[in-house]
Amino acid sequence: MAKADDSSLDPEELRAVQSAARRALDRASAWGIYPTPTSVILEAASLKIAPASAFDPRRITEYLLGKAESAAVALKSAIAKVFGIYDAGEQLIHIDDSVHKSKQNFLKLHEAGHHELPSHRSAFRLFHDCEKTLDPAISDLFEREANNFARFVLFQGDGYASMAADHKLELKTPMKLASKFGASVYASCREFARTHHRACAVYILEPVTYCEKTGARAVVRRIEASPAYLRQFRRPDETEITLDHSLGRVLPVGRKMTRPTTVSITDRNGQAHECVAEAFDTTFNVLLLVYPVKALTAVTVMIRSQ
Amino acid sequence: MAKKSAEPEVKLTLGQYLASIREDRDLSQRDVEKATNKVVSNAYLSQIENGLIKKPNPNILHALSELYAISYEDLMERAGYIVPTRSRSGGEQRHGRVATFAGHNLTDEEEAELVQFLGYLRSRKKPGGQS
Repeated sequence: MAKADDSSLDPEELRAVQSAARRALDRASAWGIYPTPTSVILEAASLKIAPASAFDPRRITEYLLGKAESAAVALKSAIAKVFGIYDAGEQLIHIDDSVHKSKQNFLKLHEAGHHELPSHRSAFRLFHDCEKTLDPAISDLFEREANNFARFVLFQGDGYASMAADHKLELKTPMKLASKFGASVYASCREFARTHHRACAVYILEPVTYCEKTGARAVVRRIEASPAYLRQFRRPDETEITLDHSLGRVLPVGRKMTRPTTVSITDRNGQAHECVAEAFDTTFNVLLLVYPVKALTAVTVMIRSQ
Repeated sequence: MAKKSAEPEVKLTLGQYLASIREDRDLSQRDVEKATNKVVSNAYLSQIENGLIKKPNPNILHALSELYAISYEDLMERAGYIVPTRSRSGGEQRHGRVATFAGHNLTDEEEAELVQFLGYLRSRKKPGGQS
C-alpha cells in the first residue's frame, strides 16, 4: 500500500512553514551554502543534539533496570519505531545515529521544524506532565509541517529547482544533487519531480519481488510528479508496477540500473505519448523517473516563485 | 453551528470566545491583522469568529493567544486539537504527545513509556540529578 501523504499543506499552512524556514536560514546566514549547514541552523535556533541520546542502548538498559517487563517491551518497541525525537522542554534533539548520514540531516531539520514553529513547540511542551495529547489529525498536520520545514531548509526554497534546471532531465541529476544538498537520494528524487519545470514523475517503489502469476512486481511507495506532468497527464495512482504495466519493462530486475527506455504513457485526452523511463535500485527502494520525450526539446519560460 | 444567544460562558464556541476577547481588548479585526503582521488576516479572523472556520490552523491560534495574552492550550482545546489521551482508540492513529520522526505510529503505551524515558534522561542531565 502506498505510504500516507506526508507533505501536502494548504497554501496558508505552507506560507507559515516557509516563513519560519526562511527565518532559520536567515539567522544562520545559510542561503547559498550547500549542503545547508545543519549544525549552524541548529545552533542559531539554540537547539542541541543530545550527546547521550535516547537511542543509546546503554541509557535504555540503565533506565530499564527494575522496570516491569511490559514497560521494557513498550519502550524498546517505541525506540525501534522512531528515528528522531524533539524534547521541547530541553531544546534537545535525539537522533538515531544508525540511520544513514544523509537522512540524519533531514531528521535534524524535521525536529528543528517542531522547534521553530511556535505552535508546535508550545503544544509539545504541554505533554510532559499531563495525560493530554494532540488529536491525531493535528499531529499528522504537525508532521507534514515539520517535513515541509526540513524540505525548505535542506533545499533552500527553490535553490534546488534552479540548480536542477541547469542539468539534464535524467535520473543521474537528482542522484548527483543529493550529495550537493546533503540529502538522501530518495529525498532528492522527490524534490526533483515535485519542483521540475518540465513534465516528469518519479515513482518510488518497494524492492522488486516475484509472484508466480505475474513475475516481477514492485509495490508503489510514493509517486511525485511535476506540475507540468500533472497538467499534461494526471496524478499517477498505480499501487504496483507489474510486467504487464507500460513501466514494467523498466523494473531493474537483477541489475542496479535500467537505462533510458522508451515507454508509452496516455495523457488526459487519451492520447499516447512517447516517454522515456529509467530506474535505479538503491536496495532500500527503486527510483523510477519517467518523462515525455517532447519535454526535452520544449521551450519553457521559468518564472521564479520568490 | 448557529450562534446561541444568552448561553453561559462555558458554552461559547471558539469563534464566539475569540470575538469576545478581541472586543474586550478593544481591537478591530483589522487591528489584529496589523498586530500579527498579517499572520491572521482580517478575512480569516472574521470567518473564525462567525463559526465558518471551526478548526483554524494552530499557527493562527498561537498568534492570537500571544496577541490577546490568553492560553494557547485553552484555544487548542476549544478547537478540539488537544484531547485526553484515553479518548483515543487503538494504535492506528498518529501518536501525539512526543514530537518524533517515526516510521510507524506509537501505541499509547509505547508513547507513555517514551515520555517517561525522556523525563528520566532529563533528570540525569540536571546538576542535581544522579550521575
